[in-house]
Amino acid sequence: MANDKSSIDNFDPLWLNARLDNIGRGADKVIPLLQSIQKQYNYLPQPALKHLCDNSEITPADITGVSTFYSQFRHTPAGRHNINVCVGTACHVKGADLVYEGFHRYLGCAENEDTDSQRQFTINKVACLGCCTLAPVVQIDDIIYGHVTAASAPNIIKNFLARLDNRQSDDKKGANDKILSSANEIRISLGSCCTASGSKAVWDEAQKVIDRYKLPVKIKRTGCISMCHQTPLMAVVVNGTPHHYARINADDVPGIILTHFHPLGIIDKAACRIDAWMESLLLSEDRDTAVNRRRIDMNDENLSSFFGRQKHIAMERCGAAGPLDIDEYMETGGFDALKKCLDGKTPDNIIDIIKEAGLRGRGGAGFPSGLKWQAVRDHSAGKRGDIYLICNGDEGDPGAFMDRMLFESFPFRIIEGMLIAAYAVGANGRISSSNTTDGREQPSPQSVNPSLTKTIEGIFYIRTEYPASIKTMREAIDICERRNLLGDKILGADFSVKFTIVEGAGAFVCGEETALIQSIEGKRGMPTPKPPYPAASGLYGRPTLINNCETLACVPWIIRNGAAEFKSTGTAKSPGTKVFALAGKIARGGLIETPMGVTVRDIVNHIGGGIAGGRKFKAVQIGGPSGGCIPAGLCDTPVDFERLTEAGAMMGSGGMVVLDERDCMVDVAKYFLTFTHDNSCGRCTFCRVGTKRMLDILENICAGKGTAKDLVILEELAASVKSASLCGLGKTAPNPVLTTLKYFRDEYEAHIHGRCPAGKCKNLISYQVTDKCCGCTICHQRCPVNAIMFTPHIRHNIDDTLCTRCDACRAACPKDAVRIICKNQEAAA
Amino acid sequence: MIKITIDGKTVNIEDGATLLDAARSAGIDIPTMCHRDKNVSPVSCFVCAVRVGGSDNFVPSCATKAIDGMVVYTSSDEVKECRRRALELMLSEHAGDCAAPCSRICPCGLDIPEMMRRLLSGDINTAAETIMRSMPLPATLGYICPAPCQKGCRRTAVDTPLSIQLTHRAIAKSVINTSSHNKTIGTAQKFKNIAIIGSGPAGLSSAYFLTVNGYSCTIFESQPAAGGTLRTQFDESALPKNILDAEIKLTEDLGVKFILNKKINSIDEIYNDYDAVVIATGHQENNQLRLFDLEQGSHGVKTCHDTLMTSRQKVFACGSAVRPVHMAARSVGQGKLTAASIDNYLSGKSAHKPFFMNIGHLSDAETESLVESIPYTDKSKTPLSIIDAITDNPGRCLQCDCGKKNSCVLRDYAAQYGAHRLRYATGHRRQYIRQLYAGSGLVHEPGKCTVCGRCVNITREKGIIPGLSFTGRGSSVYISAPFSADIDKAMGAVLDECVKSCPVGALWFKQNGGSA
Repeated sequence: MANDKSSIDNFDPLWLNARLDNIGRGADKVIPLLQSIQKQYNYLPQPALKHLCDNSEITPADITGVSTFYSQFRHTPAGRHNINVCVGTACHVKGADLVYEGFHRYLGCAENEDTDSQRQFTINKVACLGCCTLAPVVQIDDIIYGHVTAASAPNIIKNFLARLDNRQSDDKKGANDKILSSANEIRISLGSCCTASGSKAVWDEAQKVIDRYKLPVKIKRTGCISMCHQTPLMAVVVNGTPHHYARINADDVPGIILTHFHPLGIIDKAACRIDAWMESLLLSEDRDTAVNRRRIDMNDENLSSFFGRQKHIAMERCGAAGPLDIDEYMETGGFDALKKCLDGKTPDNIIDIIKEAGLRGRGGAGFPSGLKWQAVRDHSAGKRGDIYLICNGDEGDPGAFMDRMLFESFPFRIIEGMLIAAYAVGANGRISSSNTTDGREQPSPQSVNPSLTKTIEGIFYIRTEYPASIKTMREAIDICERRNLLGDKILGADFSVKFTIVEGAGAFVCGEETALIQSIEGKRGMPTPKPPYPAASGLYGRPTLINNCETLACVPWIIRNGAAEFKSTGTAKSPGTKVFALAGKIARGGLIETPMGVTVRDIVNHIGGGIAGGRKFKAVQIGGPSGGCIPAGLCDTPVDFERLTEAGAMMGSGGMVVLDERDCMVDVAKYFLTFTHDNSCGRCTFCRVGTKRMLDILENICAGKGTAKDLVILEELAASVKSASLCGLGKTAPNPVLTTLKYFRDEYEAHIHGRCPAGKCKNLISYQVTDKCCGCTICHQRCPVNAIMFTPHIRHNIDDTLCTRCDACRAACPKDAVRIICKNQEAAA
Repeated sequence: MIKITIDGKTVNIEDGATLLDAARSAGIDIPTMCHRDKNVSPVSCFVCAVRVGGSDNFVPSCATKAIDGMVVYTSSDEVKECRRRALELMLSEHAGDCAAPCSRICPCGLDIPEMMRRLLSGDINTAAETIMRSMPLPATLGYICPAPCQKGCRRTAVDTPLSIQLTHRAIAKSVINTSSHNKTIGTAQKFKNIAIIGSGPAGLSSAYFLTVNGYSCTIFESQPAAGGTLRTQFDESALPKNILDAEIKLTEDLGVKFILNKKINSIDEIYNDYDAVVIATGHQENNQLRLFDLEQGSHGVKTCHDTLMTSRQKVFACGSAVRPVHMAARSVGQGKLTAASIDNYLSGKSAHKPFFMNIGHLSDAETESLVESIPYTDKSKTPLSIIDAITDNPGRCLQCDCGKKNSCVLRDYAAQYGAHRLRYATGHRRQYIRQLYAGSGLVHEPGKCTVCGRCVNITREKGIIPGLSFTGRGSSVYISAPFSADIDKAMGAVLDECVKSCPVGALWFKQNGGSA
């Protein structure tokens, strides 16, 4: 990120020439080149774009087409720092729009501007930062803040600026520390969302304590710990036994660590005692009480309920594994599956195992992976030329963060899965190893003609909103290359693969495989008709295997444990497990992996611990913009591919946002349509215009201007868009509307009669102060638009014409005296 | 070769062919908008949608490869409905009128901007032809018409409306003694006889259009002179008799037979001698029409809304005989519609009702873009005599009709599929913008663009730099020239090809006006 204003404003052709030399000048390099310019200048200055055209194979038309397609790119100068307000599903239902308005107001940006007059900050709405359990979330440059409210905007900006001032070169610390597993260690997760809830501060404090008292223990970075509702979480492992402390802050750290570890030297011991005595004078609560309050027992009912119904396959060793500790990965069975394949299995054997296991694509559609692998192998077998493998990590669904967590936590597992896939679809069937003496069947050395040797290239396509994922995968690939797990003649076998990373540039539609291919080729991410399927003609017209990263993460487990073991979990048609991002109005949000076929009720009530705040469970939104809302009444629906589709939803990639009685279903439908209509590639009439018209209608309904005829047209359009769109995005875009119409039609009708039952739609509600008001003036102080007069000790009054329904007064009122009322009282009655 | 079934018909086709290729090879018509023959389809419009097998989904036939054994439906009601909805969605964002508001108001549908263009090019005869394609008695109407057209003139928002009536009158008068009329006859004789009862504006009009269409017409008039109310309602200062006489004479010259002083008391008197009968008697106070023994409505003879036929087979009615009409031009317009209905009836064809896009009121910014692009057209070729007669400058016409109104594929299919322009008018319409590139004469109206990508693909295929590009995404995607270049220059050598290829009125040349 460019922090120096001069570098933002002055385009330097020599700098760009150097980037061109580094990245390349081919037409397919347009996206990485634009990303590089955007990183340098925080926008795309036109002189830079013209220079790019003049000095590469990229045409002006390509530049315009591509740079306006992907939302990462901007064409107007931006502030020095980017404030990204996440408007993912979980953040939306928790008031992301109000947060955006709060920042906008605090920074004093003009009405249609996103940058303050000093050009210090630019605020953007971003699709999803994948920290759904901390919703609402705001990211400023690379710092993520969780549980943000509109009122906290000033503090966050101040905090950010303060951090900027004391920013030292401590970035190198922590993440790269390599620590071997040992009996004694302190485990702290530094995943994106843990960091957002403060685990970095916990880490820093722990390091300080260890340094100060020279304690005989090291800190280990782990990946996602799954229990987002308990973060920041620290596990202190003593003699192999972990002790967990949840929701701690930096102040708790010394007490917790010193409970388990004691200084060895006499001076350190003395210092420790003195510090503890000093502290006891200052604090009302003694240290032991504080420590015990934070301590959680994994056998506790809540946690056993959270974990008890889960089964970890893709997330195996969750919370214990160091993401980039390859030795640990290998000690715990990592790369055994790959070795097993290289040593004794033919590609056909492997494909048979995957088919037998019944593994289905975890990206959403659930296509049998074995058949896909077979198709790619068939299309390339016996033919010359390259094969491509693409790991689809373009997790664009707002409300989903499975892929991000898998990349950040289990990079080697995904690499291993991808290597096995590469071997299965691309190897020539020749096994190099002579290690066949253990009685295993000798694979037949079929098609060993060296002229038919193919180049296999694997690409990890990861969305740019996940910088930590990209960084982790890049390092993991480097490590694997150094260990000969990647590159030429992997582990001595006649099998060579090259892996690279391609950064997505912000387009949900690129999760669709044909659009993703277009994107890698440096084009606008517009889906193409199928057939031809990528297996036959994919990237650069070559046979291409595209699998979701969760699918690939399941592969090593299946090879190690066998197809039968995999099939023993889940349902007959949907074997295995599925990772879900459980967020929204739930007591225990987090990343969960459950066997297929568990019911929605099990997930919400047992794993999730029911609705937060004791409110009523209304629905669960599954599958993001392609999915739908399953009402509480259908919560015995088993979660598998077929049953969800029958209910009108869709597995999608696995986002699960729980909604309670305060969520307006029309607003939820409108939210998703806003997303899909903006993320349509704009190719087909039905998706491009049809979704826009549906959104018009939903906006009218939410504004109280809907009519009964609108519902007829809405249903008609939904059916048309579903049946006459080219790609998956268009075909599934109406699902949120169709399911809410099916299960919550009464809410639509209420809106048409001028009433929003959930009290959410701004045009249909107003805020009112009740007699409970004690005249404390807090609401007056919090109101950002001066709609509440300063009337101490007298009941306050809200001026409805000024009120923006920002909810600040209601949230702040100590007497619970502010209530939302339906504007149209007659309709309410 | 592979074998597929289209609408129950077995079709043999090369492997690799699309469903569109297969259908066309079998003589089955499938509409297309975005697809260019012999090119990879951009798959945008979905007007070529068809259904395969028992699927609930529709596929674009232009991009779907035929697979052996496929069963394809191209003309089921569901398929037609799908196409109609695609058209209606495109229309919902189509910011631009087909015809100018003045023409839409004119009961005879006179193409006023075209009349102005002809006049400005100095060709009075073709200007007159333009008028006479829309109406008989042009000079007569030029005198008596209250000119509702002028109330719709978009120029009103800038200064004053064009003097359409005076212009129309001056042109019509200037050719009254020439034989321009005959030039409008282009159809072969149909050897069918039509009787018209009454020679007022409605009767004369239906006779005129039927004759022009190759029918033999006989007008029965009870009075000694033809003209009906035209002769009785206006004094000499409002409508000089010599003008009316001359124009009725021209109608006679065209071949219409007048039988004067002949009162028809019963349709039976002529029913068997003619292939169709038109009742154009005007309003009859004394229940004269009851004698015709036709079903009556509240104001006169009852006619079918669609066919304009009365309760009796092959008997039609129009003008004040159906319901009192207070504007001669409206009666003329009805006579024209009746003639078209009779033609449909006798020839057994069913013409689609023409489609008209109508975006209504323009915002100030929209009007400004119209005025800035074509503020004045050079009037130097217009004969001074006309300019003097109308005391106005026909070059002020903003030409707010669509430059492609006669070749627009969207308009054509909208008529064919009965699309309704307001079906999905759920929100704000797109902004109407017209931009003229003076050098090439290119008129760009991005509000009409269907983003089909034809022009983008042509520039890409031909390697044009900078070329055109899709810009943005989602519902706000549009087509632009990179780096704010002029769009005509961005198309370079393929400008003509792109303009020709554009299926709608987003790209046209000013010099072609509405004639393209």
